[in-house]
Amino acid sequence: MDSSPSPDIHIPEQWSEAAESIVYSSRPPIILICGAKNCGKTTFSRYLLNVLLHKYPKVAYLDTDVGQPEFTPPAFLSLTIVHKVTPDLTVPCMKTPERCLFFGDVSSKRDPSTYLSYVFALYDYYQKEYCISEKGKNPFKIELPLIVNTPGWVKGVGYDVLVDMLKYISPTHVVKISISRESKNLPSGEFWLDGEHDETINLIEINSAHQDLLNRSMIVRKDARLLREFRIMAYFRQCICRDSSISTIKELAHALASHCPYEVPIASIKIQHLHCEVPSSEIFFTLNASIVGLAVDSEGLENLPWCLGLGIVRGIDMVKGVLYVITPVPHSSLEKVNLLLHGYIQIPSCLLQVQGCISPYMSANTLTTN
Amino acid sequence: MEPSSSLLGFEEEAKVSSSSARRLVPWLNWHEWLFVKHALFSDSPHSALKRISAWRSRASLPVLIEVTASIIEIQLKDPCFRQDESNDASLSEEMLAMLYCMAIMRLVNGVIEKTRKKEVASIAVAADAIGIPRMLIDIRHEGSHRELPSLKIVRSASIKALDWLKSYYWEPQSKAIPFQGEGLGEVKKEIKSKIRELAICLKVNGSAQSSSSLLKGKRPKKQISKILKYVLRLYSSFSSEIVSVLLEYLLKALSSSELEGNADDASNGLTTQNVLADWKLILLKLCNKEPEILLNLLKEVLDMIETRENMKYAEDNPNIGISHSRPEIQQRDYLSSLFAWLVGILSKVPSAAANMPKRVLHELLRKCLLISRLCNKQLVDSALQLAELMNDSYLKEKVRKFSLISLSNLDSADDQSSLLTSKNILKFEESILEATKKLELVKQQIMKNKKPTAMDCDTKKSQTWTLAKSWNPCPIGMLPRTVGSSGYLPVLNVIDDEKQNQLLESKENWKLIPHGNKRDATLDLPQLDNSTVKKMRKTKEFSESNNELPMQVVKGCLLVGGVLKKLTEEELLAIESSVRILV
Repeated sequence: MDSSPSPDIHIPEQWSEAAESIVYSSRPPIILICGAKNCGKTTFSRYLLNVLLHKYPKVAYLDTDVGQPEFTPPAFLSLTIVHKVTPDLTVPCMKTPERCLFFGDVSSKRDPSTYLSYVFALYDYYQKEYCISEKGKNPFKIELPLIVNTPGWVKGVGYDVLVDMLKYISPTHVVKISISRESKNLPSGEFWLDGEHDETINLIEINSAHQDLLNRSMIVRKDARLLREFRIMAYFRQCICRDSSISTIKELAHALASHCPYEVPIASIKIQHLHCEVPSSEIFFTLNASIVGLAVDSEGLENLPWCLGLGIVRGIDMVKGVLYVITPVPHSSLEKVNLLLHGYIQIPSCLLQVQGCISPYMSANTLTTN
Repeated sequence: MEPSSSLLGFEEEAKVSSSSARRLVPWLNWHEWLFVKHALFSDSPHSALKRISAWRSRASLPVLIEVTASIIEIQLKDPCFRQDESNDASLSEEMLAMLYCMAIMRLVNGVIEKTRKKEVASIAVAADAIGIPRMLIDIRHEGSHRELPSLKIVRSASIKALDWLKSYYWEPQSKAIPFQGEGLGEVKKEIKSKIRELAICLKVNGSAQSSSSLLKGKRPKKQISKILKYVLRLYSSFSSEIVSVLLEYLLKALSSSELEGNADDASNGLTTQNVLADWKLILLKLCNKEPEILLNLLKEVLDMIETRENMKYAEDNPNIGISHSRPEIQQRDYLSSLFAWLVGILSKVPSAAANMPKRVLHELLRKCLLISRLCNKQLVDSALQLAELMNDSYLKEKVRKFSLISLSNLDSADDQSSLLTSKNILKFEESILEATKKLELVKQQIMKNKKPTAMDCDTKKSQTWTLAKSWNPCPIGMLPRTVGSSGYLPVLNVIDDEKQNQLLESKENWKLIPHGNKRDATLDLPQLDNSTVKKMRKTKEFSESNNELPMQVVKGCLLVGGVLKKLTEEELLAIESSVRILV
């Protein structure tokens, strides 16, 4: 069952065997993929997604990698329902998730407990909607398999976070990808179970795809920061209507600067700063020309700020008392938004320094103390 | 391996050349940075520390600023440096020493790790190269590997660290800022010289072309565009200075030619054209790129005419009026002919006329008519020209009627305008205002008819998020101007309730008691949550009635009787005492 992936991607036999063993399970599987940085988790998850889609009509994807998410811009934790096969395994594509939460940072290091609570919340949502409940309340509920992607941080705090995730989710299958440098890998065996052995869990250990003659893993080095900036630009590209031909970053910058923004009164919006404390008199100095998460502040029991997308606060008019926000979220959904979340995500600087619309935050006379 | 940007739909682009070398900074302009620098090293650095904590959330804060803020904040907690303030939660000596030590470690690591290559130079060597005091390096070493250094040592080290930071970063950076310190005079000089250069270049270019030596014409062209770019870049921060400089030059040119020529009214227009022919080219070039310059020039000239007229008629003494009349009338004539000439240019600049919103031209037209008082023929003619630009035939008819009235007025009046008694002026003003009111009504009718009836159901939706009604392109972080695409810097200060609180509290712990009264409600505001939000609403109301409210007025003011006023101490005391009586 091969889904003819792109020519650059080589799926070793070990991988396809692993995928097949997962697919042949009777109940819809819950699969968690883990491993060191750059070992091929995302590629394997895409491949697995395609394979599962041949059997199931839809597959749920829980993305917990805030640094390089699959279907959303960075800093999001999301649960997406996928029903289309990805033809090209190298190209990431934007999808609108079913539910997502804006974490505000590209790694869990600043606030692992909030990170975990968000992961658990998304998993609970999946359980409620797409998993068979023992009580059999809703016989028409479609059961979907779940793929959980994890970040490549496998040491220190990242390891602890991964262990907590595994304990909570208790997946049916755990795919652990190892690279040749043993020191970088996760411990062997069921490392999260404190010595107990759980019969229901299948641990599949595979190696990373590319290995040279000496059996050393060939890792593709990625410039993570640059990738994130491209992701953000691709996200905001959706603001501009599809027909207009924008093919360079310069054109996108000009288009965004001229794009008519949404106007929202400051009085009807709550502003929350994640990860840092800002005095109330200085709020607008942090918001101007920054990226915010557009969330709905629910008074529900969980009190989780479900997020609808990202927006760029491109201007603040204190005299009129309005914020000007550019966002690709459709207008009909925007009416629910009453909370702006400000994290550590910045507007890519290449969008801000295009000739003709240079932002005042790109300054020319700074001392370079290098 | 660099990710191919074509993955996400972007073509590969050549790397931006680092000649301009811009870096992302968390401050809006250098004014903000200077405010922070000044406050940080003053006696009460609290406002600067607050601003730096806001900068920190923007994630592009230079480490040197962060470290400076840390050290100063620790010194604030140290009773040795703050003898006057009583610390409620005073730290033990051990804790203070740990704080200082950590700050110094972050300083050394933050600065050195960037500048040295690990294998090539040791930390001590790299530190020497930059000039960090040796004491700081030692403290870092002690604190990491040995015992915590004593409080006395780290205290004195913090003083040294601050001095070094000043000499390494704060002073050099403030010197590198363009146009700071000397104030606007420096800027004006710069603008003047640039515009003179531009004039010379354009002249050279013009004459070169006429003498058909094309090779010589090329270099001035490049220079012209360079100077143009420079002036336009200055425009976004110094717009009023540029406008005033241009106006100075234009008026000088006019008045100097008049002194020589002594032309009479009939040929005035012609002379203006000749005299200002050189300037026409400059203005055309500037206004093609930045049409707002022309708009501001027109507004300025109208304002000057208005103030002159007001001055003239405010002085009731007829003798003084007569003795000042000759040069006054001449000035007024210069200004009027200048205005007419500028309107002529406005019609010549195709982009400006097309893109200038109707409402702006309408406003200009209305002001022009008001100021002309129907006796200044040139202004009335200019108004007619403006009406033509607006392509509104109804408006044109009305303005033509006004001009006919003015003609008949002029024919039967002297220059001393004894006919323009206050009664007549009032009558004319009334009729103008009536006409404009009627025009507004007609416009509204037309707009109502044009609007689809679907608008009614749209109003049912909650209007929190609405598309902005009109949008001029402007850089991200700025607000759009009415005309042109350069944008202007926003003022982001929340109204300072602290200042009011301090003022009020210093007067014997006087308690605020909520009343239903609007006046007292504003005094009450600092105690409410969302006080900032309420203040925003109040400013909104006020600004709706007065479009040109400068933001600086709002700070430190109280809303008294519906009007924002800056109150003196006596007035505050009066309010305070009067409230006491009510209690």
